[in-house]
Amino acid sequence: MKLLCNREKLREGLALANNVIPAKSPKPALVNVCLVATQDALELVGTDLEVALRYRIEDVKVEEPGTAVIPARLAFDFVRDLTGETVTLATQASNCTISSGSDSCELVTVDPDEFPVVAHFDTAGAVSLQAGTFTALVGRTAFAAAREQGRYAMHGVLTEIAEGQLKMVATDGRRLAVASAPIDAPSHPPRPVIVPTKGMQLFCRVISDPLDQIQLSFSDNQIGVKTRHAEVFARLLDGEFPRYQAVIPGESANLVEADAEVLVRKLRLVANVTGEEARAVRLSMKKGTLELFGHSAGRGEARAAMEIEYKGKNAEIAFNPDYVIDGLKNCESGTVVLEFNEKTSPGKFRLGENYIYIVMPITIDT
Amino acid sequence: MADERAPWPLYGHGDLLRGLWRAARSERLPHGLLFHGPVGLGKFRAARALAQGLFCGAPGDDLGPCGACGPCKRFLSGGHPDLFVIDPPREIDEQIRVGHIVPRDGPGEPGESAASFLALRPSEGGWRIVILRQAERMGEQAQNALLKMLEEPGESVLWVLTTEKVGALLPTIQSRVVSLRFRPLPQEECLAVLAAEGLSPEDARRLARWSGFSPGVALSLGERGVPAMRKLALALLCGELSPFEAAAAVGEVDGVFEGKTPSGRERERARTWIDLCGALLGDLARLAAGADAARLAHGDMAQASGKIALLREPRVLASAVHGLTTARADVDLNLDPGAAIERAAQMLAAREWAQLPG
Repeated sequence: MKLLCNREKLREGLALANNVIPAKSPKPALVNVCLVATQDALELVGTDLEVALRYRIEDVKVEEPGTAVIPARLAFDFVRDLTGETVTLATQASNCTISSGSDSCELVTVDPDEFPVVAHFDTAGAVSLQAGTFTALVGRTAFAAAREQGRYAMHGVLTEIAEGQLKMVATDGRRLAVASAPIDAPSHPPRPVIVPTKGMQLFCRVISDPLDQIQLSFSDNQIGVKTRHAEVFARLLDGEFPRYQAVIPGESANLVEADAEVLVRKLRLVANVTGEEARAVRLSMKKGTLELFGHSAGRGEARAAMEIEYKGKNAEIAFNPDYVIDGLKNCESGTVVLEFNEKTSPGKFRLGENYIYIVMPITIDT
Repeated sequence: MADERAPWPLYGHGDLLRGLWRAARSERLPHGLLFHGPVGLGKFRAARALAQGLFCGAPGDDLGPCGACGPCKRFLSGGHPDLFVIDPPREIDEQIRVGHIVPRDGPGEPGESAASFLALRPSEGGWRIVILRQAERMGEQAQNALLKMLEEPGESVLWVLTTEKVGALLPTIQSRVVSLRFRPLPQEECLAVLAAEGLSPEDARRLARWSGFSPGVALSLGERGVPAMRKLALALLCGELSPFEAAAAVGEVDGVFEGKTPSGRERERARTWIDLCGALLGDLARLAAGADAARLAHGDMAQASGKIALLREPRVLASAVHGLTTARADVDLNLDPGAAIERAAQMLAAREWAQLPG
């Protein structure tokens, strides 16, 4: 392999690849980046076995196509500290030389067969959508995925294309976020997959312009996203996602319409007094007014009130304020609608068109 | 520590592996296998060979892995993404923790568990294999965690457990895996294994004999410098070396002794020496009782000088065995391994034996 490329572009690519490549790994090949030089481009391939990235650098002058696997951090550090405008990469036997002007570095290469296989994006059956739509859906749901150990199926975002909609669902058992958006997808049977949150975050990281078109493809074991310069893959989670539809309330007796921004402010205000061990804010609704109350033994109590539109009898319900605020941060419109039946039944927040957020209530002594 | 040698070809267990590969081809391979049998017979190596064969992209006519395809290269370099090996360090009291099986937060817990490995679908689209070496090192909690995973194995998942103490596993685990017993290798196959490992025929014959024809034990004896230690022991028995000289020389013997720390490795050296002394004394007792020298690991002592014969008194042997047991206990209590080596040398030394009190 021998090629000449722009130093800054190579630095950017290596920086992105190093977001994926682990600094240390019991599997030695993983700490490397695989450089693949084709006729007119250089591909940087990195993986931690959970997610994988193929980053393409165009406008590369390739003298000799080939493949080299070199230590990723070392390569990045060296290229970053170079000052020349262009960089030459050349392999000889088991070494790869990175040079720019009078500066050069020789790195030991690894047999490319020892590097994990990273798929190529399969455009057959892939769907196109606007990058901003994808990142918005991830932003509206991924925060609700479980983080604690175990319950692996809930460590990801259920992603499904059905009836011309891309739908994402995440839950940690105490809250549930469901968001969907219309996309121009060919009709094929729904195929729900669970994508690890880490994969979703990487997808969003490689999307630089929300107005770009991206492609999304599903296979048995992984999901792939193709952007202008990168192909990113995430291995799917095995297991059965909870049957979340049963949790979403149908008709509700009580309906609150409130200004989302004011509600967030009031929740934060009252939540200040609640401790970590009893994180709960009680919402009391009566016609035109919402009262918020929080207290903590040994710390004190706080109250706040705000104007709302309310349909229903006088009622109250308590939530973990952090969970509610997490959802409200993603509220698409200025107004949030909360629906619930009883103080022990889940609260359904309508945060926009095709976006609902369910939070399980907390029972507190009054 | 993982055995990173290429596991295939594997002497002695080829037929068993071929049967398992055939079962996999016809989709009849169970999701859990238990390889059990005495130490040193190649159970872990067989488990690795099985995994490599299942991953291989171009198996040979004998169904064994080719060793040259991409999956084989990734396997041999320790980088195959669909293999997870739980191989506890060989420290005396080291257990396989619950955190090796299912994720646990906390100090000392391993970073990755079998459950988190199996949570993701296969990277290369085939098998996901977990090899659990020395499964008897699991405590009850870890075994219960494993049980739950064996009950819901998932698609294309294979668990291979290896153990020398099958009775230490819960009956519920044993009932959820297919047990395959590993038997000692015939003498010729044991010698072939040792020859394949680069041992000369003479060394292979001696080590095979001392190990009871267990290739793993024989190789371990060789690595731990047992041939050199045995020469010292025989010189000691014949009165050609004093216990102090022998103990000092044992401390200089080249060998690979396992342990996380230098003192851990010295303790392992002491254990090796004491166990050798015990084996020699045991055979001396058997010779004294009229056993056939040809059938004993150290039967060649029968041809040694009369000084060894002097020691065949049961009373003296019993005192010496007691002394060795105490020295071994001292090592396990983290007492000075050098002192334990010296004590064992004194137990073996001909002149001192004669003066032992009744």
